[in-house]
Amino acid sequence: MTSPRPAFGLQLVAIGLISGAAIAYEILLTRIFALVHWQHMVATAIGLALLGYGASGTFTTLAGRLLESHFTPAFVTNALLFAVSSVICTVAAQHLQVDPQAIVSQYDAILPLAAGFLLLAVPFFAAANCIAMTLARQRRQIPVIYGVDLLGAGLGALLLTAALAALHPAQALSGIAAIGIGVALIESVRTGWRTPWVSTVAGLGLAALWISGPIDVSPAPYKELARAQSVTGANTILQRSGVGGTVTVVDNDKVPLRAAPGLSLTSWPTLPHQIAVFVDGDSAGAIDQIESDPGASDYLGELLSALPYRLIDDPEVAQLKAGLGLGVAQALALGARTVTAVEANPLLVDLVCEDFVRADPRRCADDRVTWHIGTPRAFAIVGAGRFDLVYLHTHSDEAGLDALDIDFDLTEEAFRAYLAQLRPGGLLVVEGPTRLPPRQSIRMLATARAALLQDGIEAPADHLALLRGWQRFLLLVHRDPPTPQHRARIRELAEEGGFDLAWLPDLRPDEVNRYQQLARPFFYHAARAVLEPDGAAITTPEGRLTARPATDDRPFPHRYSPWSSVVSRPPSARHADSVHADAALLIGAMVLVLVALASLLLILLPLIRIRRRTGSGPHAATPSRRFAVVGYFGLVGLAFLAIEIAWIQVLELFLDEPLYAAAIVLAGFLVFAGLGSVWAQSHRLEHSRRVLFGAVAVIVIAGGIYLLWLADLLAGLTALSFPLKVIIALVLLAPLAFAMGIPFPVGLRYFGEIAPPFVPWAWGINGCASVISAIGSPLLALAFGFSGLMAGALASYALVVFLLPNDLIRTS
Amino acid sequence: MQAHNLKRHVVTVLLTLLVLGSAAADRLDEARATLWGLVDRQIDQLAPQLGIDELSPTVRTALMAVPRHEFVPPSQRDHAYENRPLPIGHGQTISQPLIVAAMTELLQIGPGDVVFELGTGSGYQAAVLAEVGAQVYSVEIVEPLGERARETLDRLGYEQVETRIGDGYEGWPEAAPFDAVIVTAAADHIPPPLIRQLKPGGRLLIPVGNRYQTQKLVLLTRDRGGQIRTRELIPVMFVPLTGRH
Repeated sequence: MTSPRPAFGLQLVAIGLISGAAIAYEILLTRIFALVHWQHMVATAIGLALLGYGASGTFTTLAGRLLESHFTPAFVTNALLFAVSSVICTVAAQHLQVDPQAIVSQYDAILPLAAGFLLLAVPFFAAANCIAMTLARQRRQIPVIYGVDLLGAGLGALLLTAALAALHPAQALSGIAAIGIGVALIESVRTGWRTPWVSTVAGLGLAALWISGPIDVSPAPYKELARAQSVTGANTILQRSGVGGTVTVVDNDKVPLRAAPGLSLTSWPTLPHQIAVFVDGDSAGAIDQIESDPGASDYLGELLSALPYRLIDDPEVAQLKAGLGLGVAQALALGARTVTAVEANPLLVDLVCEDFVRADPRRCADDRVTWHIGTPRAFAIVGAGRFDLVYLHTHSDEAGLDALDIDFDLTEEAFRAYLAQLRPGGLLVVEGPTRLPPRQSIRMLATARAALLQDGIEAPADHLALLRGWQRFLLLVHRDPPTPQHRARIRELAEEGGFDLAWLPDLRPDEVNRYQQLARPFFYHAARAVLEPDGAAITTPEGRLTARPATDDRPFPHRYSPWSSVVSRPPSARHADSVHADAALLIGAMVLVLVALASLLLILLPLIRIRRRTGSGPHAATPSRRFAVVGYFGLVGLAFLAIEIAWIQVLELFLDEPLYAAAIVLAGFLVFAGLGSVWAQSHRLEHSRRVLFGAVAVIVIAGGIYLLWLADLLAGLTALSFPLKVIIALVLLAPLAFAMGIPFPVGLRYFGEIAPPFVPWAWGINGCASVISAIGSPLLALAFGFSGLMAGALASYALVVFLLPNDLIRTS
Repeated sequence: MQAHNLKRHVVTVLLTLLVLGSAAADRLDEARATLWGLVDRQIDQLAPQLGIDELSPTVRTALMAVPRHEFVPPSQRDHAYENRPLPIGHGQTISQPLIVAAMTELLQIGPGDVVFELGTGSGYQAAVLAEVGAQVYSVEIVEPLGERARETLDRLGYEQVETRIGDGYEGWPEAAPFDAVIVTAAADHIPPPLIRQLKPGGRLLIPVGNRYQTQKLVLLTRDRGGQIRTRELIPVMFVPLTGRH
């Protein structure tokens, strides 16, 4: 006796595994390419690769009959292709010549880069083919198959994140490839198709993975780590991977690193021997080696950031975004009574407090120092009025590649939380790099002003001081307005150190731009402009910049160019001022256009085939039906990803856990959506419209309620323990995600009954829309906030109800 | 007869090579003249920001005299006289000709002046400074680059350039004080030893920024009274690199 449909359960296992492996591969690529290339725009670049999902729909539609008649060979081949290509394409893509500035200055430079990243679409294409073929072949089981696809993806995301805590990304890649091989083997065993052959190939593949070992993942030559390693005498003394990235420590006896950010030009101290630390190939600072010579760190008192210690005696200090603890050492060297350091990346804290604790014992081993692993926001929620000085260390990408980066630690709400940590007379000190035209310093000034206004301070400008030194700025936010003596002291210290004043309430024009002279006093002009009552955007001689403070709804503190300046200033390699446009905005917009054009092609291409296969009878793919399919699955794809992205941000802020929060929320979303899809299987096809109405009603109502009240609700729960917050987050997202798992499979099964070729086509449309949404959502959130993005997504869901046709004709 | 034919072939080949070589040399000369004409005009445009009148005849002559194509890898020779930085390996570049011209002019070097250069790179900037008449002390941290630069400078006869492989951060105390200092790669601070080794009245030039942003030339002066000031001069965006780097 043989079953006509062999072991459906085993097939579902294969689907779950390939789906989990594909999402794990996607997450892994972000890690690998952050290390190899540039950190900030990797997600956008990988968005291109996800077009493989869209392409699989097109391919499965075009090759529909062939794939149906050769299902198992095609499935096995695609699973093996996923395994092989995930390794080969990753190796090949490492050699891409990535030059973000080239893209900014020459639009067409993005084409070869995009083509290169499309190479990475192959593994996604192969994995998606396995799912699309299965959906097309077993149309009645669509909800359960899609549900397992989502469940697999959710678990894959979670497991990969957990695995990265212990494994190097390259090792994890071998594991993902092995899963692909395993899926091929499962399908072969399930169907009995050439099992000995497939087993042999699988065995050889696994042996090859074992023998070849993890692939080599090295930073591109332009990365700071590669440069440091190329210097004579460089010695990599530690490399470690974790969820917080890959940390590399480089020592050099011949040409030691010297880091002294913001060192005064008027004093010439000798720096101690230092070891350089890199996270994902980018510099994360240095650790002094002062064990034998504590006096070697005298330079700490000559940095611009030392100035506040001369304003407040024996302060109790908090160092937020403490990194490697340079600020901790400085605080102790300058007389701090206690120092509390807050750093989100545990890998950095391990270096300071374990691996290199002897190099500079003050940074962690001193009794006066306490380290907290976590975000500044989470830290600032607990307690109030405990510190005399709260330091916030900031970073900024020089080319504006981080304009789409989300950072809840630099928003207006975050500044209010930090100000609440100050004792009377206390100071919030923000320090970071300067650029011309002034960007981050002015944005921080605007954020501080907004926070002070929110706290009921009528003349915030009187509470602020801005100074700049060699490539660094220092913003002082006074809890109480500084006295004239206090201001006089700031002037005196600035003069001593050769630092320039850019803002003090009574600053005179002849006092600015004296030591580190610019063509014009740009910083002073910008500060004045932003401290005007309606200062939202400022105009400098170099162009218009946005100084609107980042908020929790629009948490993009590194975005400086308004869209108008991006659009109206076509970049030119010949003009220095073209760099004003944030590279991330340009690249994001260009990639979006590319993806939209490619999607259009992928969606239109199968139409001829669909029309031929469905003929002109009752199952015909009429124009209205085709429109309905494109609209339905396009909107569902756009809205699903948009809500998922918006929710990840909202709940990540709530959970306030830098490493695992995103993975937990993503996994929760996918798992609950998967359960919703599986649940939909139990409903008869004839009830599809009713089920869809119900699901959309839940989405719109739950989404609407959350949109209006969620932020306030969560704000009251932020002090709870992390496990409790995870439970609350999952409970809150469960009904919404469950309902969101329903429209796609219900619609797919419904349209598949009308015309079977619609199934793979709709899968492709949904894939393309998801990619567009993944790339476009941050751009929309930038313009309208995450609440605007969420509202748009809910409206899209409401629309799909009208796109499910009434004329269901049951196939036999 | 065969020997005669062979001789004829050899002569033909040699003549062809000579003609081709001469044509290539003409092309290089033409490209060189075009480049420096362009740089001359750009310097004129930037003169107010740089605080100079124009490119001085001494510097112009020095720039014309140094064969930039000798300082770039063979694969980049065709681009040697384009106004952009070129990759020289190890993640480093030979500076944009405009920057070299501006920096040389800004240092206001006279014959016999002593100059320290942190970052020999290809050796091109050192050669230009030597052409102006300076005694140059140059340090490079990337060993293969430093060796290649030394070999190039020797081959072209720049004896007044002394080079060293190693750490330039400490300057070159034995040769200090210097009339001028060039730092070709910006750190997060200006190395204090270099300020210390700068003569009162001396000038230190440093380009700030990386290849992904506007590069700014910063001029540090140490006046007779010891007062240190910096002045940010021109923003110059390096044209993006092409090819392998």
